[in-house]
Amino acid sequence: MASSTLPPRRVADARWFAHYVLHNRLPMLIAVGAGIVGGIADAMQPFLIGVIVDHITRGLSMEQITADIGTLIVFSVITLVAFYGQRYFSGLVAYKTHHEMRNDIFENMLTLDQRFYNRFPTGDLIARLHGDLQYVWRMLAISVNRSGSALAGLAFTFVLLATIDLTLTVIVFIVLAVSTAFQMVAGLAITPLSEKVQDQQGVLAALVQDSASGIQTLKSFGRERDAAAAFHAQNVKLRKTWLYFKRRYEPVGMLPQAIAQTAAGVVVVVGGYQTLTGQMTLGNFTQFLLYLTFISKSLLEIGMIYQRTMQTRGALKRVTPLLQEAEIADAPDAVAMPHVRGDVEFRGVTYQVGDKTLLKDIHLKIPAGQTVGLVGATGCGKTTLVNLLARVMDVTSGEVRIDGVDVRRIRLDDLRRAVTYVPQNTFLFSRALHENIRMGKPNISDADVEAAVRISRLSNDLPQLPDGLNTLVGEKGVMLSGGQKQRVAIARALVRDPAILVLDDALSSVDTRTAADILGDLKHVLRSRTSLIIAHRVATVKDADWIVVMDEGRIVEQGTHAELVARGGLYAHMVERELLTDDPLPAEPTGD
Amino acid sequence: MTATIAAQGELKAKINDRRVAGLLWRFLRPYRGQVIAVFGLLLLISAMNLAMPYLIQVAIDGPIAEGDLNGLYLIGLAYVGLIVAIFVVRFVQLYWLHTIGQSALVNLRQTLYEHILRQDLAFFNRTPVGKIVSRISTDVEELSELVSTSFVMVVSNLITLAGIIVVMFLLNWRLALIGLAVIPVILWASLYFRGGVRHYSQLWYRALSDFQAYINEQFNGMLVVQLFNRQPVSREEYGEISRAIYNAVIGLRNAYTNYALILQGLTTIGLALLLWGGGQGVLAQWATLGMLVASIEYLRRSFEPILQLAEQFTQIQTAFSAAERIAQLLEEQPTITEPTHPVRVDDFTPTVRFEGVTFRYEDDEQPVIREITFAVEAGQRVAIVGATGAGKTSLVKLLARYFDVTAGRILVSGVDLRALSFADLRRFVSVVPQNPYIFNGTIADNLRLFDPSITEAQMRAACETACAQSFIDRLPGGYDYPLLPQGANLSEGQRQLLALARALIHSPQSILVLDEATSSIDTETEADIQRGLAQALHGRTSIIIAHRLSTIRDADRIIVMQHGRIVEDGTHETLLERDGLYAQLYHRQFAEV
Repeated sequence: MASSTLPPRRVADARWFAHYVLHNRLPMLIAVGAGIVGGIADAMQPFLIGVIVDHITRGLSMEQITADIGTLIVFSVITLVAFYGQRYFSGLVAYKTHHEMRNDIFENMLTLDQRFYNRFPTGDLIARLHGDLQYVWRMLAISVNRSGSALAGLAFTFVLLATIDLTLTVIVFIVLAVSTAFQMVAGLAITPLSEKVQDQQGVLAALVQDSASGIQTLKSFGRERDAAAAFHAQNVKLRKTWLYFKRRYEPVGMLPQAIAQTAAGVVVVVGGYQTLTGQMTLGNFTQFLLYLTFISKSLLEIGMIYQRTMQTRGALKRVTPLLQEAEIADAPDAVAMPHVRGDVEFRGVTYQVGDKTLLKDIHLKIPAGQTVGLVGATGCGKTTLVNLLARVMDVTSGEVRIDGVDVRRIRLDDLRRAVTYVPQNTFLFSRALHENIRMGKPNISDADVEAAVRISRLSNDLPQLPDGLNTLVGEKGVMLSGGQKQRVAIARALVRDPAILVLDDALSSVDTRTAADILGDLKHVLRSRTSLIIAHRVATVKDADWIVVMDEGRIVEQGTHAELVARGGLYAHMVERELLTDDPLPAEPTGD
Repeated sequence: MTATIAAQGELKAKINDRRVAGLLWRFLRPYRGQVIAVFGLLLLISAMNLAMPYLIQVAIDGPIAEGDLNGLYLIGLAYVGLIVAIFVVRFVQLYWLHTIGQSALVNLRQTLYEHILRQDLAFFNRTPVGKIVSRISTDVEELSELVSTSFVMVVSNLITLAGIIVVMFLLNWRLALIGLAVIPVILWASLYFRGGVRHYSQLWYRALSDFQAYINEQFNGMLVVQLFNRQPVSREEYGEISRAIYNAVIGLRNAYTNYALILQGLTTIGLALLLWGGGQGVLAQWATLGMLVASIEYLRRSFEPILQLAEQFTQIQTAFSAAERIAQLLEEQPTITEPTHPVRVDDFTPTVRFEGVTFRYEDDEQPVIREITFAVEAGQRVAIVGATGAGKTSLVKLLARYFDVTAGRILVSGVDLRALSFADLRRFVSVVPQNPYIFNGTIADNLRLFDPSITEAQMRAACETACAQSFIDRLPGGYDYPLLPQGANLSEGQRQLLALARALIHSPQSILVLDEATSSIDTETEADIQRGLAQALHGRTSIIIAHRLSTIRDADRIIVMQHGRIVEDGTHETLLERDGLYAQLYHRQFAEV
């Protein structure tokens, strides 16, 4: 649903909020209008009952009383219709506004880069998009629904009662308004206490999560009893925090009712005295009694609207970061590059995070169609280098070029179509296997999928999977072993037939024999495209056209396998070490 | 979507009321006397609340009608007294109830937690951690809501409603009959609309949980979404789920609006009937004005409890399904249990014997271990090698009694594992897994594993032996260095060293079973691991699933496994000489580079 036509605002403030609400202004106006009519009509009810009581006291005929009741019913019908419209349209405003916000925010989040996603834990992002945004409809539902009717009803009641007895009216209103204000303030003051309860609930949940995940360790050392004791300490603390909160919360919740009842007591005594002395009719007395409930209910609603507004303001502050502008986005003068040859060039590329330099002055030219292996110790900058090519992040200085064009000037869609990058950590969606391979590209034929499945040796495993390519892989692919997941990722990359293929340690969990088979087949595929292969094992890259050895953010050696071994440098050392220390046997998948 | 399917499954599960009642009774029983007292107080509060309109009636028909000012003040005083009394009693009642409720819930949570810890590994393999967490947090909180709010509301509303009906009849039975005529219709309407409300609120809950699951996945996989231009698909999927929430909540709104409309209409009809009938009554003198006003007040008060009862139904329904899930979890029984009369082991000797052991996982047809027999002498270091799926890890799992053998038996110190108490079993055998789990907290927390009696000296000694001390010293704060979830701020090698030290602390005499790491380890820690292992294993009985050449060379004995059987058994030299599977595997490695 495309809801917004204005340029998006980047701060979830009152204006941002107003933009969405005003988008639904028609139903809002109807709701508030209906509320005003309904509020007044509803406020008529106690008045009419009082009139009837007076008519009965004066012994008027049953015809008159029946007519009075007729009037009562007419007003009730008006109230009914008005309230129906009020509820209907206020709900529409509240839920539609929330819906539109939710959609626009996600739309923006689809464009945000990894810098953003690394800064916020996933749980926190969910809490913001799901939890914090809920305040919007909670607030709108009640304020659009009740503000019109509560204010109109109160004003009407005040005028009506003031004409009967000004002093009593003022007393009643003051008592009730003060109690409402008290509840509002106290309610907000208590919020931090309820947050403490939630925090403690979180501590408990984390403990359970932790011990269930590490159960094997706990059992292996027989630590269950002490774990239970640790849990008990937090468990008891939760009770303490909860009770502390409730013992302050309950009186705050109960006091306004007690005050309202006190106001009723005042009315009984004062009003009773005036009725007794003939200053007030019995009907008026009844009206006062009946209006008490009405007034305190309306005041309570206004108090609630105030509270919700405050809460929403706080919650929206937490939504603001989700609206930020993507740092990695299409430049205004972005060029379309539907077809890419595949020349890659790094020109004086430096990348820094804070004061840490991860890549320093990298120069590397890869002609189209070449296969380049990237090796080096953990943390030497291999992954950073390919991240810059796929624009997962942008260079600090220097340039990365594809076919001579700076990647920052290529349309992002085109860039990502040209470069298929299989990151180190395989991510699978909880959908069918073939959907994880196609990734929503409908123009990939079944034959292409089959070919990719064959090359990635996924075909070996298909017979063991319950539904072959239709198997649901489960959350994050839990149904599959680490090696299977990596091979799905490779198949996913192959079907896209990219000009430039980047594999970041994409075979690490695949057993050596299968990995060798895959690499053998890949050779044919790679002949026609540029590819960068990052690997920990020399065996994976030794057949590449060109091997680049990195160390601490720099290129320290490059050449063919034979050249580098002959040179006796870092690469040659790696080869030796692999001979001595690498697995003599195929690795065992962790899921065994 | 899998989340939807799971949610549907949970919705369809019919609530077994007896089971839920049994659960509640089990945890509230210790407080039954107090519970009864609390409900006594509730009764008192309702009665006092009901007395208030009655006082007004007395005031109108008595002092006001008769012009008795003192009488009026007396009634006023009684009125204010009632307000104070209600306030005090209600606070006491809530205070008491919350204390009972929370104590019961503390017990429930503790029981659940300990129950979960007692389950065997098979349970943890088939139950996602998220599910366990939500049983003990979300579901227990639902029950907390039920015990602390819903029960009180329902009971006090029922009492109030019943009280109003009784008082109205006592006041004037004819007025009562007229006024209360709409109540059955209101009750019927509440029940009728409850269905729609429940339907949509379930749809809504389901949509919300789908939504959370979906954004969780998308946020985690955003890099892949963007790299593969999957945004259009994600947008469409998200739109669908977002739309489902909207539709459900709009449906819910409609159901509520209709219900509120009917309710409001009916209450007005009730009032109109009462006024009309009451007017006639006063004129015909079978009712007084005070009675009429009091009846109006009572009737208006009776609508509130009905409305609240209707609202509570949904809440109670949710709480009951939570209770049902908790009860189900509590019914789970581990298949691996401690013997009732464990064999006492007075002089433990670290020996292991597998006698014709065969093992098959529950659902599998093929055994992964087939009739394995071998013995490990005290002090021996045995390396087990073999290809993926040869059964090495399963062998370890059997030795730790995470699973029980299908046939044959395993003896430790000459005693069948199944005859040992759990305490002895853990004392005799400890496993350091390939990917050691790192708990939330500090390095020290991970070494102590909830045992506060472990001193820093003990930790230091173990870390020295395991060669973990040097990297710990380099961390800011040393033992108090806070670890990220899954130990993400340690390298894989460091995590292994930590796990090794942990084993040395908690199982100083045990037979050590190690599953070595396979993947790339930084050169620095690699040397540490070699040394640490050598020191830790010195003079100990150990069984190592070996991946490193050095481990294999240093072993007293190498067992080669294939397809769940032992195919070769000997030293490195004898096996090479034999030129069998081991020699073949060994040479292939060198040919590869």
